[in-house]
Amino acid sequence: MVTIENLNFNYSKHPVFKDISLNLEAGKIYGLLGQNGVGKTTLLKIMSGLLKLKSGNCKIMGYTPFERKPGFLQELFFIPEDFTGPDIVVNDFARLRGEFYPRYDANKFSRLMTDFDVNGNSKFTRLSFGQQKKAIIAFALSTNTKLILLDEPSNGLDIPSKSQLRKIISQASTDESCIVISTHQVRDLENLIDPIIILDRNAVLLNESIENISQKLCFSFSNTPVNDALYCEPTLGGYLVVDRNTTNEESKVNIEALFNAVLLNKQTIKQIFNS
Amino acid sequence: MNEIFSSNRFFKLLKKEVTERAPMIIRIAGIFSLILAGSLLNVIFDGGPLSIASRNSYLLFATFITMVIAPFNLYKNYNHPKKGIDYVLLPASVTEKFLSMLTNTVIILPLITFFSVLLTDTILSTISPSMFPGYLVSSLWSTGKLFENVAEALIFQQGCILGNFLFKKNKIFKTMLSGAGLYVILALIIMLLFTVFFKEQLGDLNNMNMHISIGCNSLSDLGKLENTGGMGGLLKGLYYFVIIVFYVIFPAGFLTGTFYKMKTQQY
Repeated sequence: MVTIENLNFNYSKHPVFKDISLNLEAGKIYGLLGQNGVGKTTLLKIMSGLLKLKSGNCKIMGYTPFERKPGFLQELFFIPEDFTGPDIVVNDFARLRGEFYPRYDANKFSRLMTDFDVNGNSKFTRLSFGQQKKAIIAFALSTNTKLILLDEPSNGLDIPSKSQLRKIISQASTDESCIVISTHQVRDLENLIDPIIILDRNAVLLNESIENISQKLCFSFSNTPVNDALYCEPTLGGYLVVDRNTTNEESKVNIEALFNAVLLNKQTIKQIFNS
Repeated sequence: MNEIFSSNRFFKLLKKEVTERAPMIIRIAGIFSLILAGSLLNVIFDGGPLSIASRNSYLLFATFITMVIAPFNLYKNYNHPKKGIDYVLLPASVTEKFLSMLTNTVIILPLITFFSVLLTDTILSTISPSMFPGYLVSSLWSTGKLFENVAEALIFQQGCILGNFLFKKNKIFKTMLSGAGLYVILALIIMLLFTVFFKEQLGDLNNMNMHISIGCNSLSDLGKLENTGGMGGLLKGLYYFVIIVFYVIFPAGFLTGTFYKMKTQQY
């Protein structure tokens, strides 16, 4: 669905991506992780056609995003991190924009708005930031587009809404659709995102499914620190350890620990997953 | 799928744009109508009736101002790094968005303001014929310069539309400053033509001992000049140069620039 080859991008003299290559497939919910400033939002903006790449190739469903052709735009929905809606009633917003999306489902929108407990008869400007975000997420999922890009969707949501978000996104995922979620709040979206993409400055450090990760790495709890492990983090009553999986026993992936392990062992992780 | 223009998509877009912008359109038209209605109070206290000529000027002024502020009001967020995303990612082509924007700013808002002020004037003339003598609607076409004024206002507005897409902050101020700069450059080019390239003909003009007076309204008379030696051809050339620049190159450049900015704007 998404093919990125040798992507180069920079903001004036500040380089962001250098020869990045990435493939995203339909039927998956990708978690896009990375430290501040590595270019997660930039990558989503390039994929949605908001930014023009300097060189390389980015094809989404056969389209070049920056051409912003209607055929491409009606299969994509991008929700920026700090979405602020226009000064109109939410239901009118959805009704008027829904006409542009061939598979827009008005009933689904109403249902999701009820699930999120947001009043669709209010104007966007009268809703809180979190409510506006829930409304736009409800609309995005109701358009049934093939590619949905979410930049920090759980930011600004209250605790019940976060679990609601997980439930709704998992329901919205189909074999034809691809959802990419950029986030720092990995705990909010644990058990939802699979595969995991970890971006670093100028490189994709990891793009693997949870299954592959648990086959190659072992996440365990130890009472004592393990010095030769890939990553060891003191936690309540012991240590969280990430190491090579030598026993072929699969363990539950801890995304936060995985992220730290990957950042500390970039070359080793590449070797482990390329072997 | 037609990726460049689909009438179905265009009318859907236009419907969306008009519906969303209706409160702003009504507000602007309402303000100009209320100002005219408010002048009734002034007339009552001052005593003198408001002539049809001054009301006519007000109508043209209100329409012109509406045309100038339309892009800044209705499409101010298009190039906003955050607020512009919603519109740019709407599944419609740039051509459709461009035409819908032009329809709203060039036709819908100015026409609604025009007819709103005209209607207010008609009502006021009917209620109080002594203070608002004559119907503006009947004298509207007698001025003769309406179409010329509209054409000039349209060209000015095209510049404002481009300014709205070029600048992200202080849009009106920067647009006006750029417009003034553009006219200064044009004047400098004309001066350069006269003082460098047509220096000899200008010298001949001094030797001819003739007096030429060119008023603002008689610029078009330059095109009719014949058999006045080298100067006639020169002034005619100048006339055609100014006409082509003002009526062809400027609007074409403004529209092309706006379309290009809409197509290549990054967020």
